[in-house]
Amino acid sequence: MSAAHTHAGVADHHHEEHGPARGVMRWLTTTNHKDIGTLYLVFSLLMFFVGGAMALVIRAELFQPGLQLVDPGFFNTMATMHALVMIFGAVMPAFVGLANWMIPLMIGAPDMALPRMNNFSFWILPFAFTLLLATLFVPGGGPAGGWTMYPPLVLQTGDAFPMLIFAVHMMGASSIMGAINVIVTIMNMRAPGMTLLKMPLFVWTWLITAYLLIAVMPVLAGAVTMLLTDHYFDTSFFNAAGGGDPVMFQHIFWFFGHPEVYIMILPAFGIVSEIIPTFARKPLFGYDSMVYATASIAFLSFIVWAHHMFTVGMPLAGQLFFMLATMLIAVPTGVKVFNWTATMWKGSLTFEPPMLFALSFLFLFTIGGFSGLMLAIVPADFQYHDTYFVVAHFHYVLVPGAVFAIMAGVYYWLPKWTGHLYDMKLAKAHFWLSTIFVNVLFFPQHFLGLAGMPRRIPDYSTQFADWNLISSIGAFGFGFSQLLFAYIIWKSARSGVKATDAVWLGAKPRGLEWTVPSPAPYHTFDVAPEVK
Amino acid sequence: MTQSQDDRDDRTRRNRRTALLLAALAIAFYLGFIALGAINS
Amino acid sequence: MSNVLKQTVVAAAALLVTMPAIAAWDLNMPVGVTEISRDVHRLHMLIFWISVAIAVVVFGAMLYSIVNFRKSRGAVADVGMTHSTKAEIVWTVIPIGILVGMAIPAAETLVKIEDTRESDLTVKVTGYQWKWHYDYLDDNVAFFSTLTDSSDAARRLDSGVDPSTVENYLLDVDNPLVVPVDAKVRLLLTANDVIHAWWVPEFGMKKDAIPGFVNEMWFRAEAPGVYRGQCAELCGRDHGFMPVVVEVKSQEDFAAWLAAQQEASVAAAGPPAVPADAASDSNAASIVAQAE
Repeated sequence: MSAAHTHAGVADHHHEEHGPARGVMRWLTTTNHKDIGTLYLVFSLLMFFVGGAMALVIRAELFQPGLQLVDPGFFNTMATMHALVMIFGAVMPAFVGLANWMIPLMIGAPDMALPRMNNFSFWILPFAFTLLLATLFVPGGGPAGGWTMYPPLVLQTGDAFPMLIFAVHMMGASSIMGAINVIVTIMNMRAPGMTLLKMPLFVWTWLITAYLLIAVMPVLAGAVTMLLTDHYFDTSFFNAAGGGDPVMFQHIFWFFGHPEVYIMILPAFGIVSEIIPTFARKPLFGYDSMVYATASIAFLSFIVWAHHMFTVGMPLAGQLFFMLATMLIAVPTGVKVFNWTATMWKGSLTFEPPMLFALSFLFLFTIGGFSGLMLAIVPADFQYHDTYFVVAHFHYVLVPGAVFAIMAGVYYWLPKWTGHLYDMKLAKAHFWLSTIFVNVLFFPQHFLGLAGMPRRIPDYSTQFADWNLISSIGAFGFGFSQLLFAYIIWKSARSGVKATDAVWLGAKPRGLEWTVPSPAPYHTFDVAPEVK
Repeated sequence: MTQSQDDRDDRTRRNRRTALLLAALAIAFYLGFIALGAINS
Repeated sequence: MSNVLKQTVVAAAALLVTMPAIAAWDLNMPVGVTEISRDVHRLHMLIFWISVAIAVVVFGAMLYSIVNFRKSRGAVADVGMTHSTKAEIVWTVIPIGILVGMAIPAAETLVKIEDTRESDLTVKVTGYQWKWHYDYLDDNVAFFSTLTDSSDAARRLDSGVDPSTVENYLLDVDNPLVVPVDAKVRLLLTANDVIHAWWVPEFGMKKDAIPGFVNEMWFRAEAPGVYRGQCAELCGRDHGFMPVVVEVKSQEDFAAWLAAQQEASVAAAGPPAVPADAASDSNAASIVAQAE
């Protein structure tokens, strides 16, 4: 896919306004996809540290048996909030930020389709999270029923309850609007010549993710609305005494929840599919296959939700169906892993920070995939369910999975955004520290789960002490290593060797984003490029 | 290959139409699942 | 070092790292004392080894690429290698075959688990915040099962007590569930307030206890002893402090125990000093037995 253009990337001075506004008003009122992308990414990094601090409270308490630091109720609040902040405040906004920055550049569009809605989508988030974090200070404390909010337990939440529900609604609205923007942009604003099957894989994965978001975020909204009415307006959706069913909540929640985890990984697949070909100096192996595999994963993600609830008392037929469907998802996922490996095979590899993180993703996400396969087997799941084995699984796919892919993407595109090459040595140090500590942190949790340690407990029996100790050390190591990431980004925004259009000179990356200067001008592709 | 204001207006109209369609889809899912909950309780 | 040797080293390292999971360090899933727990352990190890085998191949290919196809080694990219329909078919069909191979024993074990017929003893188990209630329905014996005082005192914030000095810290109760060995024990699980879950790892089964509903599970312990588990569904502040303890006695010992319990409950006036399950008693008509 090559682009023939003249001055296509540079702003056409006849149409240019005076450039961005100055100061705070610029950031409050911007409708520019680059600015909004930056806002999402900075917000996400901040939330990553907030959620990370909560994780450190958890791991500090779990460092030794016995209760040393926090009340058990507060521990549960930390576990609940850690998940909510990481999922809705860190991972999802990071992917939206990358989408905002890169999709218009990759398809040769001047901006997103609905720039004002784009601004609104972002600014909802700081409000939503202020509300959510404020729950820590109200009577009854923050929500402590898990991010999964199962009734009846969640209905024992104090004053924080309506704040939680409202915050979730706001985050959901933001995501839905963002997804609408992504779909309309991709469907309506691609440069001439860029057919769907010529789009970069990052754009494909985001297109599919956006459809998932539109399908399932409303379902979450419905579920929490029903929680709200059960609590305040005498409905009995989930109250057995009134004729309802607490398990129905779980079905509705996980109908959202399973596609949600694919929402958190498909863009990661897209990022890795951009990076590996560049640094292997070889086209992505099996492009068409990768697109179909992504679509298959998205489709299958709708019919596996009950694997999160195998112990709930499901009929045999249901258990069998969900087991088989869940196992089936391993197939297209495996296809993707094989295609990435085949891209590396007979390539000419170099190991810049984006590639290091992408390769780490490949290894460690695959380990998460194996534990996922084990979890799919229902009789075995009866032993794994609600133990640290599950915690290990999802952290492997989310941390060295989604988060490392996000970091890979940031390290890949950061020079395009700031115009500077960042400190490569520091970035590699960040990489090694992160990779080593993430394994010290999460690998022992497999053993803990197998040995019988349940989830969401602040204190444990002494036979679990050794691996908990190691996991906590890993947590602090991993957590503090991330300060390097923030520093590297901050430093590169202000100084550094000037980056060229193509940035990664030896690798000759393909894609329209590498045809514009670094930093990318405020307005790009006011004139659509011609794509061959 | 500059675009006229007409072209841009056209595109904006198309964009908004697609967006409204998707928003309607989202709302339909929201109400649909609440209806599902009501039927089952 | 030749490439083959390198790959062998990698495979050995992978095995070494996973060794603790399979050695008897008490850090793998217990084999347990029921037929089901043994089946489950076998399934678990099967999937585990299959995963290891696939990992050796896939990680092997990745590591080989990283080592051999480096630009710094002078590797030149084969830019013509862009796709292969044959490869896609092969690495779609083979995984499907492997999955079918896993699904068959899994389904067989699942059918066994779901067969709750012909039980020897039925006990109604009710989860409370934060303790268990056991009711031997046909025998007029019922009691609460709560974390022992020694654990409860030690686990408090700033208790000053070292948990390693408490026997069976957090896994001991005042009144365990007592059952006879080799008997098919059927449990009717429900809850009084929020969702809990009843789990003993050595029995190989776990099931949710849901207020307003009754779930069914069974186990047949094949060896006498004391088996310990925990509540396995977040149920509030003291979720981590409501263990499950089952004492499996010989048939004679169980009969003696039961008789003693029945005498004691006749002697004690009236039912236990706690409110009856509102959900299960007064709404008996609305209970849905979620039997499989």
